[in-house]
Amino acid sequence: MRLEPQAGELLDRSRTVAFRFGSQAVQAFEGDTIGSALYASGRRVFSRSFKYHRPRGLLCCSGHCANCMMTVDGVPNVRVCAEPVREGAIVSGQNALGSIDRDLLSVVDKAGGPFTPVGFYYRTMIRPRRAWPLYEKALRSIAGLGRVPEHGEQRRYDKEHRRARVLVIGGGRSGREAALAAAAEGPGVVLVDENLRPFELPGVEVVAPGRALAIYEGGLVPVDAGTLLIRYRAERIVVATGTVEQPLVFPGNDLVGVLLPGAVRRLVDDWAVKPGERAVVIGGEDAVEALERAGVEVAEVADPGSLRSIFARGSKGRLASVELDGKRIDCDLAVVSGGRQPAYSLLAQIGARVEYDAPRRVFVPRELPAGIEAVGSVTGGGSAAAPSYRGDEAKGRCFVCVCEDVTEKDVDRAIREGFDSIELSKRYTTVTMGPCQGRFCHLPSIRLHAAKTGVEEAAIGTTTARPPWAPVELGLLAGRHHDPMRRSSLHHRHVEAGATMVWAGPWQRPHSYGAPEAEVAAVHADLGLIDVSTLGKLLVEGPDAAAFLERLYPNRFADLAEGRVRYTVLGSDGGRIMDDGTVARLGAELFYVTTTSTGADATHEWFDWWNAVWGYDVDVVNVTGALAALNLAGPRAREALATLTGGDVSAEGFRYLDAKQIEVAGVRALALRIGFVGELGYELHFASPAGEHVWDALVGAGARPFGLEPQRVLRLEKQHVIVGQDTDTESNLIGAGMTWLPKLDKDDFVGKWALEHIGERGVAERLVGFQMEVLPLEGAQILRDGRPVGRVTSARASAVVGGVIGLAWVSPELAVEDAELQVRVDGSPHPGRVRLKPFYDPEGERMRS
Amino acid sequence: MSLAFLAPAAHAVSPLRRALAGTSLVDVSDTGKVELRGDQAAFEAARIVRLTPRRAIVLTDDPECCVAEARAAGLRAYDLTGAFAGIRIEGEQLLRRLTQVDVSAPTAAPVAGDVSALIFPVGDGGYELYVPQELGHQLALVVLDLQAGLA
Repeated sequence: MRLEPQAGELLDRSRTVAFRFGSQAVQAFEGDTIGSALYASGRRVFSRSFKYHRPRGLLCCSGHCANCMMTVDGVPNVRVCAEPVREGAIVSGQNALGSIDRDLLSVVDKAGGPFTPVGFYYRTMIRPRRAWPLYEKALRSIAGLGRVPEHGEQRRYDKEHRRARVLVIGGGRSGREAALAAAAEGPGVVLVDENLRPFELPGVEVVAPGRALAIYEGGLVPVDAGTLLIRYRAERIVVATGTVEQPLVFPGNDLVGVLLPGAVRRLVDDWAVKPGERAVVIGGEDAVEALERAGVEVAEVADPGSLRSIFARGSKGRLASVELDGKRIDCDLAVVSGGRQPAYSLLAQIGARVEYDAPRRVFVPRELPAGIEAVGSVTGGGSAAAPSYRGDEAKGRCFVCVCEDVTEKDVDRAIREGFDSIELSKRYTTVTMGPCQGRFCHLPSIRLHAAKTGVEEAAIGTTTARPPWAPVELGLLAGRHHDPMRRSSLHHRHVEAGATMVWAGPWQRPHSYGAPEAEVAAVHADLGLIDVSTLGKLLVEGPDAAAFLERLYPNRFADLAEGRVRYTVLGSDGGRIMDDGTVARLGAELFYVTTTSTGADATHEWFDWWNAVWGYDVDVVNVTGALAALNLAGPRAREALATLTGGDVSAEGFRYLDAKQIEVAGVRALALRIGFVGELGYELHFASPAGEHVWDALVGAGARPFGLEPQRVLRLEKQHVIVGQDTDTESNLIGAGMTWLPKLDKDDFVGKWALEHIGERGVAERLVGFQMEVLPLEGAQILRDGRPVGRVTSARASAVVGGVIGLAWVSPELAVEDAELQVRVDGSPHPGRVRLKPFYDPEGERMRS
Repeated sequence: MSLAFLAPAAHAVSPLRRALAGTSLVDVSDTGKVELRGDQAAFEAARIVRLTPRRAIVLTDDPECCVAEARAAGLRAYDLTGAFAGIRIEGEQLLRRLTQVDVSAPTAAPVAGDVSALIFPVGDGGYELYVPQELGHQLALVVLDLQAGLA
């Protein structure tokens, strides 16, 4: 029922808003919250409790407790008392079988007695072990909050990074005064307040409603501003979070109709809603005026400190009467307060010491860290002098924690079972771990501990305060999801040509253009073109460049002539294979190094690291993204390239393993004559913005694009290794059969000592080629006489070889040409033979031609 | 052998041509970028991010000339124009959704999660962002998405 307009109400009565609660249409005013509008429409039951499925109504009406959690537009666990109404919103109850008015699961409250103490299911539902997933599924659906929509429409969340000279948290009187005082000293003052009532302060940026979730080191304060998470970096932080009204613990203290005084004031003052008809006020004198103004009959005003017993009786979960020291008063509203506790959590999170103020019986923050200040009642205002506990469970459940449905009996049992420290009891009973984050249950639970154990509150202490101080949507913490995807400058050409794009490390690359076999055939018989822009590319320049590479790599570079290229493998100090690629000498002091596509960043770091250690006069510049690279390969490569360049590409003028700078289709390019795919080929490296132009020219000259999959077949035919595919972090050059590569007569190089030792000790396995008839999986077991002796690293069917070819690590005694082995395929061994030489063009005549 | 093959002199296509087509964002990818190595403190440039005492990146309209000047001054210099895609964005709030660093001066910082970027304030709340060209489309997507969130 709506009251006459109240002075200062938040409503704009000229504008109505309609939303739906279940099948019911609800009319509200602009300025209402969903909760206030539902209350005004007569709704009193807002949710079902966590475990017992007891009906629950508004309690704090400040967006802190779990009592008004509903699902709004698919988003679960929305505190509707603090959620502004919006036109057309779809609101529904949650955590109920049926409806929140008639929840079949409330049977747990009535009949579940022996089965519901804390920890019951963890102790009972553990056997048989394999049934736990079933138990868990059932329990999860009975106990809990709302359901996260798995396929629902996703909300948009944003993040913003802001800076503040002074950040004030809390917009009460003290917070506003602090903000104004700071603003007088200069700009950069921000005030964050969680209340819905808008206000402005001169010179202050006001963020409201916004909730400070935490204070982290370095003055980082994340603020929940609805669907925007603002990450403030503040030089000074002023905490003015005030106090939190505390509930009382007595039988029936969770009945619908038991409210905190602040809730009553907000309902009347902010939304002009009459909270009930007949009220009993226990410790909430500051709500009496609002009650009377709203026309509520105040039947009794009592001081909880002078009462020996309090007992609320309900009917169907709704408050019917309150019994004070045996005196029964019929009422539909009980306004109850156990005093006020400073809201010190944010201060405790960042390191303030919290101690018990015995005279006022509250915990207060002391010894604030540098850069953190506290003003107003959070520093020690408030008092909760009255004992909050009036338990007599025989008369009904006394809830210590309404969020998690933890009763006085649960805490008592935990203490009797030995969980007698407040931290252990918290973990065992989950008291303070619910959505209110301890606002309403921390102090009562400590009090209860004190009463049950006879230990002083000061000695019991508090539990650790941790972020977030208020529940926050995970989506808000996650923000916008952006998956960084690297694309070469030719990406769109691949897509246009019908490529299937696949992830290759951080890159998107073409798997093939629809016909991998035909693409392989084109490279062998005619002309193919593959985008290898993803290769890592480093320039190494300086007077010590040759010495640097000589010491970094196992093979020689001091003798590499200008304009020549050499294959190389990068080894770790332990002699293990890290990466491979080519090194071209462009000048006396200038080298061009290529790495694998996925190894570019690691190789660059490795270079820089050793350069820092050795202190050579060398610079290593990563030009991976600056350059596109295309591999033109096939018997017709020379002929096609000649049509696009004035440079000498003749067999004599541009030999195998030459590096030359030529113009291709009008674009300056570094051309390397190398052949990963085993045919006559040129790798063209040129500025990446010209990628599409050169690609188009080469395709125009008859080159057929081929993707990663054909490339994998082609290189396997040559037994060319892919680092990371055919090698792992334990592989070394000797095991991989590249004994010719390391030059052990060099003075020193990274991994030399280790390779010498490996050479002496011998290797446990060798990388060899094998050929068979059926296709094994990569990783398939290699067998000999039924015993495992190795594993397959790569396998493909090759048309040109006529069978299945592959690479495998095997026991050294199997590393003999034509040795017989078995490969497990679909569970049974299939015969194969070891091949130590390339399957295709073993002498390399084609790529050298 | 010269390093002329690094420079995108001819037939350049911006990596953002498609990503920014039909949007209001300005593509500044063709701005020249030169990486300097060596003691760069004495090297003067109007638009420069000094990453370390021995490393800087210069934005310039004439990268070839800049490389020559730097080489003449005893530095090592590389035309990395093609290595970066660039977008001009308007409004500090948009930038604050992209990065957490202080942006009052040219700086290098991660944006949009984990993409390393060079950020140049250009006055009137405008900023030019340069990121590795292979992630340029990513930046374009993110900026357009965040703009939609601010709209």
